[in-house]
Amino acid sequence: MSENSKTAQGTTAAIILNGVTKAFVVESQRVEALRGVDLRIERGSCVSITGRSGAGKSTLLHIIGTLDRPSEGIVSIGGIDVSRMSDQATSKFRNRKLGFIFQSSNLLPEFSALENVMMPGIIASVRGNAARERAAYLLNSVGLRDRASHRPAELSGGEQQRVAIARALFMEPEVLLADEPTGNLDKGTSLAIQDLLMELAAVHKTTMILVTHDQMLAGRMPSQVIMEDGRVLSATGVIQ
Amino acid sequence: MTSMSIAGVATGVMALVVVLSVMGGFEADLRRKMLSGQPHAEVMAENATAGFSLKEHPLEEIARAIPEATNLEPFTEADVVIKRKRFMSSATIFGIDPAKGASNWGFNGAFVDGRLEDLARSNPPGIALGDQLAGQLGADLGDEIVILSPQAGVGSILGGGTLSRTFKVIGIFSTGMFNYDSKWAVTNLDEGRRFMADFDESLAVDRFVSGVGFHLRDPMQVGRIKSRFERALGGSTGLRLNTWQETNKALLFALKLEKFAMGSILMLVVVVAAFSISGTMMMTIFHKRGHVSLLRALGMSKRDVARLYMIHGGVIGVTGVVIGLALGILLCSAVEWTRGVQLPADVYYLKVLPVKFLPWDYLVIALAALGFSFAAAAYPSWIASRQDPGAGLRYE
Repeated sequence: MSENSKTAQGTTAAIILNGVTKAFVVESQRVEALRGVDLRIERGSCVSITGRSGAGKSTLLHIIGTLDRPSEGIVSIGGIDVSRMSDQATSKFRNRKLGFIFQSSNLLPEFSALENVMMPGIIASVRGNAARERAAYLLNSVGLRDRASHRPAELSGGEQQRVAIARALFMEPEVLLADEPTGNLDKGTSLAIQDLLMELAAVHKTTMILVTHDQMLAGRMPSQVIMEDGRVLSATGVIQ
Repeated sequence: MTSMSIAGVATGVMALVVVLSVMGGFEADLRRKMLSGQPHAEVMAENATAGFSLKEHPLEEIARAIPEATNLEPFTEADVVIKRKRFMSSATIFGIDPAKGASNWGFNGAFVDGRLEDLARSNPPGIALGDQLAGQLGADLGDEIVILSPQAGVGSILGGGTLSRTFKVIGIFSTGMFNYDSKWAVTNLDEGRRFMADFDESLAVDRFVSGVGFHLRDPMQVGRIKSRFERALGGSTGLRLNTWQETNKALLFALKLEKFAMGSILMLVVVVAAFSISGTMMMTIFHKRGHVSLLRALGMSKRDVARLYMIHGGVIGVTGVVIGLALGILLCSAVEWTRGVQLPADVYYLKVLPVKFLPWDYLVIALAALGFSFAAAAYPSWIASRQDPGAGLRYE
């Protein structure tokens, strides 16, 4: 067992990144998006990741979210090394332990708001009635009780993002990952969504990692990571 | 796009169902006519033109050798030319014993004018013509016609002459099979014998015939009966058994080959339609890249995504096959019930388009179309499953 994986065992940390590197080959050129990132994020903490475009924020979020694999290094979530799991196991892990909120709400247009919220449950084969009840409860908690049967095209941008938040919380994830969740919204709606996210993360005791350009939103987070050129430039409230 | 793919599969399946059903109908109709309008087997001489003597091989001997045989009836057969005034046509003169009823042949019971029994008359002898042949000659009931045949036994010692005999048309028949109705002239056995090769009076004394036709209770057993007959009477006796399958071998084979060729060509329509499934799915995968990535982010594995797209392809295939089968069977039923498609009888041997429902063929068509659909869906499904979840979300 490597030293890194030993570190990952028996810890209270939600997420541990150890020497994470991500390189892409673009037109025969090796481009490094992440260059040896080390981070330790405690359970229940809310962390913002900021930095200029191309600093590696979204790549880091995707790697933590198991949407991408690191070229080198170890990613441990809840004591499990997720960087070496099979696709089947990773997918199951993602479904049960992680929740995602993207810049555009990424709702499926053919399904109603309720069905969109139920989607992680459908994938996990949660029984129909139980999934329906939980989705209705979550829609209620994001203030969209009356919009359950509406399709995404019939909802405003803010409402769509609320549906996406409800969907992210459906499986009661350990970690909530948000990539510019208010990037497409006007200021008023953005503030409302920020409040909702903070409140829900606190209520559900979920670890939240949020990538944003919005300095005000980043400033509301107790822990902040600033990235530059694929490296962690500074980290507040987070062990680097 | 999906509905176009479904329409493609449905069209191919429908075309296959209709064409194979109609071809099956043709085959079944032809087979039925073969079995009801021809002897199931004929005892012939090894030298078919010379014939054999019923004195030497009486009907009782043949009946003993083939106990399954019913309606044993001798016949003569020869190619001749028929002339009436300025009209002339080649024909087959067919001699039968009117007293036996000629129940092995389709012209029995197919008389549209006159009676079979009048074939027994003489001076001038009676003859019955197929309606197409009578039409070509402009002959009607009661008209006199002349039959001509080159014969070695007629004329000078140096060479053959032409046998010429006058007949009176006593009947016109219509069997519905063009080759009989346009070629056959039926007379009695004695008159028919005169047109056999090398005829002289000794052939009449020895009761020469071209063959003896008969029916069987189960015509499909004819192969087994032939082997047994040839063991018992074949070889030294100079006799052989000619079965209905041998007589119609070329036609049956042609039908089978045609059905196979048509089936194969039309199956290509289904293959092309299956390619359109592939195209549709590739388009869907491209357009829904973000959705696939999202589903992957929500926890779908590569295998789940591949399964999802296989189901998509399968739904297109199954829907297309079901619609195609339903439309095809509906169209066949409409053709059968309304007898709506008339055929020109001088081109085909049938007057209406026949249809036979072929459940096993439909099953094969359905399975093949589904197989092609799933095969066509496999590659796009694999492509979709390989999609990197992060990439699709980045581009959204």
